[in-house]
Amino acid sequence: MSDGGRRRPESPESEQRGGLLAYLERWLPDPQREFLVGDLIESFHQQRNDRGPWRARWWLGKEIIGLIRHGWLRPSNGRLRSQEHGMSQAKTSLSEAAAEWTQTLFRDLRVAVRRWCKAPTSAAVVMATLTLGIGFNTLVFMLADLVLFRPASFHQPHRLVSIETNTGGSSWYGASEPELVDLEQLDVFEAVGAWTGARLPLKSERGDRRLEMTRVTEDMLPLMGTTPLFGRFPDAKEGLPGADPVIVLSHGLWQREMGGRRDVLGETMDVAGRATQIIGVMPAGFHFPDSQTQAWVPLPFNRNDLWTRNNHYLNVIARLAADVDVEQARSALAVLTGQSAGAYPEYYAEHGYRTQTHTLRRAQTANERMPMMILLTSVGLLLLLTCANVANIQLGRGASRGREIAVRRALGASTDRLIAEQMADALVIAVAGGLCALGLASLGARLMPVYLPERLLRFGVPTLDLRVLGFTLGVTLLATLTFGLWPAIRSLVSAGHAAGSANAGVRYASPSRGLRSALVIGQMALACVLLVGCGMTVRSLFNLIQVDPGFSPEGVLVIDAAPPATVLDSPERVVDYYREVESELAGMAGVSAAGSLARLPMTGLGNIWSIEIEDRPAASFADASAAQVQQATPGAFAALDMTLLRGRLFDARDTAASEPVVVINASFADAFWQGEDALGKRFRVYSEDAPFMRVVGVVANLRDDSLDREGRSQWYVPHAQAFQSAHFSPREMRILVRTNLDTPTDLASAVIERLQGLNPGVLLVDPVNLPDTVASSLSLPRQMALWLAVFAVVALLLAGLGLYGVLSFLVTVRKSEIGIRMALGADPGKILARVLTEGLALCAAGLLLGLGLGVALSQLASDFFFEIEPADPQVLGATLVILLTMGVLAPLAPARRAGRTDPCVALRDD
Amino acid sequence: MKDRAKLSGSSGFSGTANPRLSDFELILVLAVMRLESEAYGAEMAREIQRRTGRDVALGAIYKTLDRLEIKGYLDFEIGAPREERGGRRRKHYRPTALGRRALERTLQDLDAMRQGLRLDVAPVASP
Repeated sequence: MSDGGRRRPESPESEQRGGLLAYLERWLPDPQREFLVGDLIESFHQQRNDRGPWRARWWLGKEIIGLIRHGWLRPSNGRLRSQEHGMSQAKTSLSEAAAEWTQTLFRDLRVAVRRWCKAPTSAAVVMATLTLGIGFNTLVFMLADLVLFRPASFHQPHRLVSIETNTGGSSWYGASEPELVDLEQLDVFEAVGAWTGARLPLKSERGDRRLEMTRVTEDMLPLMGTTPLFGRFPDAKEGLPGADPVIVLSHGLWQREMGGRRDVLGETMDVAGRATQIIGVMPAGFHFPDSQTQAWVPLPFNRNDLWTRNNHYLNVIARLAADVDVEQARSALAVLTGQSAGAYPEYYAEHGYRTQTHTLRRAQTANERMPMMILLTSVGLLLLLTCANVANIQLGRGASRGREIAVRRALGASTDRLIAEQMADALVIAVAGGLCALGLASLGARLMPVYLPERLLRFGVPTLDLRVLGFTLGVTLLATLTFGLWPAIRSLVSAGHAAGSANAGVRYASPSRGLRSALVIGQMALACVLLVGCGMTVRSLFNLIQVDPGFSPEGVLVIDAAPPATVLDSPERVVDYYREVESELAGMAGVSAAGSLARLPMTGLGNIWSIEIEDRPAASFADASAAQVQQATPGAFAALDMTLLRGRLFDARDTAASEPVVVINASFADAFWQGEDALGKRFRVYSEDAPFMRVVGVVANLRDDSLDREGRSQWYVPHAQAFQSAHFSPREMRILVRTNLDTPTDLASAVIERLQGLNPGVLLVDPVNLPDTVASSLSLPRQMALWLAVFAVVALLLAGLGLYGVLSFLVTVRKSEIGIRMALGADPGKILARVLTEGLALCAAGLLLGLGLGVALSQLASDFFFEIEPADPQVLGATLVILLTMGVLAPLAPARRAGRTDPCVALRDD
Repeated sequence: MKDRAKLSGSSGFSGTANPRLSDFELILVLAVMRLESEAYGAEMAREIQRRTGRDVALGAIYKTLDRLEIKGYLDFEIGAPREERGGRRRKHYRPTALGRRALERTLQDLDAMRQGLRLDVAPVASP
């Protein structure tokens, strides 16, 4: 029944499944194998026709399991068959060799485990070292994977791009409504959508609070390619201003607020004081634009009544058309912006019109990329250092086994067997370290959601999943190769030397001396780089903490107020409400000042409006200047403890009926009236019928975006006048209450109770301590400093341990030499000094290398550091002192041991 | 059968005077008899699935066919290479006289055991 030389005609299915089944056929016993495999192929073909390819594959999988269960597939089948039917000798010996190889591997691993058990101290040190190295790598990868690498859950995420514009100024921002409509016309995009963030108050039985929501145009959610779990997306009509409000819930909000009921469609929620109809629920795992977003509402957008071209408030995301890449999209955008600049010179003539396009993932992680790369680099260096350290220990162990290896070689043990044995040694301890590292990582995964800054958590929560496990496995194997192979080869070379030497105990180890010294220099250099990185981050953080934000957040309570339009139905009533709030709170016990502000400082960029300075008429929007605006009540300045430089602040005189006034900051005064007195000057918002506002005061700049950015030009308009002098008086304001308490939120319930007495219909939500808001701006630099400090300390310890190990080893190896010198009358002090000098020399070489590398790497990451030069003398000086101290301390014990060597004992031992 | 090669045979072993079949052997022998000239592994699996709804693995079918062959209940004939099987041949089974006797005995046993029992199990209508 043998195939003989007959050639089988190939069928499509045998081509497709041929590889697997032909392989299987080799392992089936002879009498039935042809018929069994033939039946499998025939049935697979039929299954595929009847039930589709995936079901057919599933069926085939089950059949193969059935073959194993019923004893058809056995490795011995292949051997028996080939023996019975005279198959090629090579195949037989191959399978036999594989079986033998597996047996040998298991034996090597068993022996390795026993050998490590006999040296528990070394095992513990190596395992702890590897746990730290692999564990920190796993932790950082978990974070970096979440932020940088993990593909977005959207359909074909590589086709999603973010489009930003620039029509003046140094930064990139969103598009205006007419620009969005222009973008929608481009055929390089399949769809274009826009979104803006919104924190809207939700009145709920579970407590009133603000929800992170995203306002979206009708194309925004569909273009992400995820369909709702049930329900639908908002349509164009629901996006028209004045339409009945609707909302799409995130999976999390649906679970929390609605208990996961499927019949919620059509029900309403009280969002921002309006009954808002639930029209859809998104599936779990859909995070757009980030994981903090809990619901999506339509963005009011009327294509027949667009806002001006200079209001760039829309974040734009587009899906590239099929077969269009980012480069083609950029070219199309360049053409569009060129045409627009020609068509609307009043907007673009002065500063031009540019766009930048990046894939969505890149755009979303623009600010986190650098910190993540710094962390990844640092932890990679730490892993290298760990491997160097373990390699050093392994070299020592290899050296101590030199005699045994030399004897075994002499008895005919092959080189690859000896190397395999030592690699098994490395593998066993690396796997043990890898498992402990996973334990460390799983602990970290539990802690990270609590301690990570919100900026990172918006990407989701780090989890120990298959990707992370795969990474850990990869790192473990890589580490095994890195620290295992070298010492294994070196120990053979050493043993080779030993074999030819009568005085093997001393001589066999000497060839690895240079290698071990090189490893220590490398460790020192790596520790030095990590110390420099840590020093730079800590200094940068220190500089940030020293920054004067321009206001004093301590003791300030912030409460968000959101009066629904149904409760306060006119601008006058809104203005009156905030005036009453201020006078009501001013008389409250424990409150030293109170006021309201449209936007909290340090919470990102606010509205930038075009303005026109009196006597400097602007011909068009393109010519008009622009600056950031804040609407404030008189008490807001005192509540924030801002510094008045000149003139006065707002007071009760500034009403809708009085002359429109503004307070500007120092940057604004410098920008528009450099060298002049700004007081008394007038400007207006860029609109022909807007009244001019007189500058009555100049305040110090405050850091309005984040601590590391200088305060921009800013103007403050009285809330009481804004609806007449500057477009509108905001309905939603942040109420600021300066207290004398360390935890101002203790006063929150009393304040809310008092304010509800004024008007129970106004939603008062989210009481927070202002210092917490300011501190959150520092959370990422703080975390970075903490991580890098931990890495640096571990690196320092490992490098110290490495230095100590090498010098101890050298002293042991040179015991007889030292003994002879001592016998000949050498001064113990000189011996001690010599060992110390050797240690310091290694340390200095590492320092030199490390400082250069550290400064070069800092140069690369200079954007991340705040007000610090890459070669900061204080950081470099501190690194130098720390490492040199270690360079003296680590060799001290071996040096003293060398100095105390008894010549008689040393020579006798030898 | 035009496409059948000459190769055919049976192990010819018969070690029992009272041949009987186990339950799965019974199913298989019945399938062989139903399928007549088309009684080969894959078709038997399909026939069993069609009639009983049971998904039977080919590994299990061939294990039992091997046993039936050894017991001398089944005989076989090898077909010609076929394209839809990647050039592999089919092994067509047919019952031997001993196999038929074993089937008869087993069915008699079943009937004898079933007689007089009120099982309330209606016979399944054949599709």
